[in-house]
Amino acid sequence: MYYIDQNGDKVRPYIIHRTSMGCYERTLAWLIEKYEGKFPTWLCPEQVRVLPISEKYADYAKQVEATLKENGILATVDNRSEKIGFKIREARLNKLPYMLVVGQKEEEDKVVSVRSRFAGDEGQKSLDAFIDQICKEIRTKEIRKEVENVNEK
Amino acid sequence: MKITLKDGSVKEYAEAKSVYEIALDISEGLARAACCGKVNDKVVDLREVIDYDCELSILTANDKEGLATIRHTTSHVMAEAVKKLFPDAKVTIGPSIDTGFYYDFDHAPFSREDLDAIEAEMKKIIKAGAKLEKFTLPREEAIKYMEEKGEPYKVELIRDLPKDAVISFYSQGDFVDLCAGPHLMSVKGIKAFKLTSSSGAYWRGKSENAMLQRIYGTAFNKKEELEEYLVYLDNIKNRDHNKLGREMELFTTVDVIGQGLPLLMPKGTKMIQTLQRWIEDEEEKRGYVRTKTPLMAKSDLYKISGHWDHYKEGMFVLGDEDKDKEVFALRPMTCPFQYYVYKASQKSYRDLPIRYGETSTLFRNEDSGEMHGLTRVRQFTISEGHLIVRPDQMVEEFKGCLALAKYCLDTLGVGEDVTYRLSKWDPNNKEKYVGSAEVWEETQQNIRDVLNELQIPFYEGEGEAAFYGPKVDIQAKNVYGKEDTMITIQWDAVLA
Repeated sequence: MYYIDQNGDKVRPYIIHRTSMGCYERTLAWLIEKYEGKFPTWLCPEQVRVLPISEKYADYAKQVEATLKENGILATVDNRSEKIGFKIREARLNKLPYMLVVGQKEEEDKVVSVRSRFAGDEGQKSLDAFIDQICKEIRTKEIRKEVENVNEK
Repeated sequence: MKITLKDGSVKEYAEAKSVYEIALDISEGLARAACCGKVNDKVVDLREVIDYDCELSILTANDKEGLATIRHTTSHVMAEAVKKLFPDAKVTIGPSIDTGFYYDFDHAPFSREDLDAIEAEMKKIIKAGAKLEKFTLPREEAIKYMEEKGEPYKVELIRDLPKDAVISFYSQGDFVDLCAGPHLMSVKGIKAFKLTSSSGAYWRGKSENAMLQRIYGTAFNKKEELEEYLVYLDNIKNRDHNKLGREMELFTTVDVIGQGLPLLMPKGTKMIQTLQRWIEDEEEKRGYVRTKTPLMAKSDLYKISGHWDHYKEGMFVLGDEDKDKEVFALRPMTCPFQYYVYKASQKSYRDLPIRYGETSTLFRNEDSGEMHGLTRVRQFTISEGHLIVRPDQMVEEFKGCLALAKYCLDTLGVGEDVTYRLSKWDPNNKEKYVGSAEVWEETQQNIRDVLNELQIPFYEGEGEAAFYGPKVDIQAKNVYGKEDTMITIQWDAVLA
């Protein structure tokens, strides 16, 4: 290998062999162990799960999911006919960052009830406000800290 | 003789005494707690007879070497229990390790129920409280002794000992094991132990040898210490990516596909895609251009690069050199491919630096015994890159690479968990390296300056450089404390 220098001579360049982050598989393994599977939101393969409190609100849940996806958020909806407590427990076991619980009140007011792995119950928010919040968290690659005793909240 | 103790006091004896007898002379309590001794910084058995002036420490379970002795004796008790319950098992080796001990047996795999039965048997042995006795045999007798016992691995071990080695054995009751020691005086000294797991292990760690069964265990001086350790062990087991990553459906492995070839499932794939897109974007922001080069090449390329002569064992070769006109191999690295991208057209000094990045999949044919989860694999993908630069640009570009790596680690929240090593040459082994001492020292100083400028704490490793230049290795530990290199940034003023 060579390049032509100012004098028209052939000169051998130097090389840096490097990686930015190394091997992806190994990095994934490392992150699993570091975070015990509770990844920062921007890395989560499922960032938000929408949980309708009964089948009556399945359509609204679907709409919420679709709006989240349009905004680039990795969202799913749990439309099984299980009790809401069961769905919340399972989402928590799956180490999901956010759960959006939706029922009659949420559908009427066009809001969502936010529960997070970080702070537990975060209260009702307009869907737009929630999207702004999570998109900022994802864009800045924020590593949100968990508040103590989250599960009691 | 004069014995100087740890606290500086001196004991004088007219006749030779064993370490144990000296401990007993100091106090009965110390003799009871004694696990081994240290004579002038050498760890010795309690039975070691001293007839010369020296410094002596009596080591107990509170000392690292003392605890190791307890664990080593526990491994012998385990071997005795295994031989009692499974008379066909052949004994091999059983050392203490940082976290406890293990013993390898030639036997069918052990179940958890087997381990429980072995534990129960060990408790009986400890309760019976046999004394451990040490004796030596001349080489030929030692071989004959183990042949008669039907222990071929022990025979092999003795044959491999140096000609002048003292061949020592320890017995406890009817059980005898070839061993250099040190050991406790009695199996009664084992207060708290647990067999933690078992797995396959090759005889002498080589896959062409017989597959043995290794039983891991640990021992502590107190029950509470053992309990605490078991809770900790349980915790790290639950964090182990090889367990948690499967439970979370991030990846799996399949026998018919092969060891070291994990399948990324949709969730794991999504995570890696997120990482890749991010890294590619960050590189492009920093002036990298991307290449996409073949996953395989003809043997001709590897002959030029030197891999064919030096790394053929590590490559997956497609075809038969004797029969086929063209033989291919899957690539174990990206360098020569990206070099040909560079060489495709003539470059002037104004074109440099050129920063090539590639999300590159590589293949390395490693030993199947070494395969583990996502960390020891035969196929993997890296954020590869080569920067082709003028000598006057080298320091600045090297700094850019380090800054990018640091940014990536900090963003992932693991910046505090890694250590940076400046991997230097070994000035006492100059013939192993290319280039003059002046150039090596100057380059290393340049890298040192860059690390300091970026305020990166680092340590220096002599003899860790590649033969053609120093590098920075960024290392991290897994849950079990095992260190892996995550990122390497290599200075190369030679190979272009």
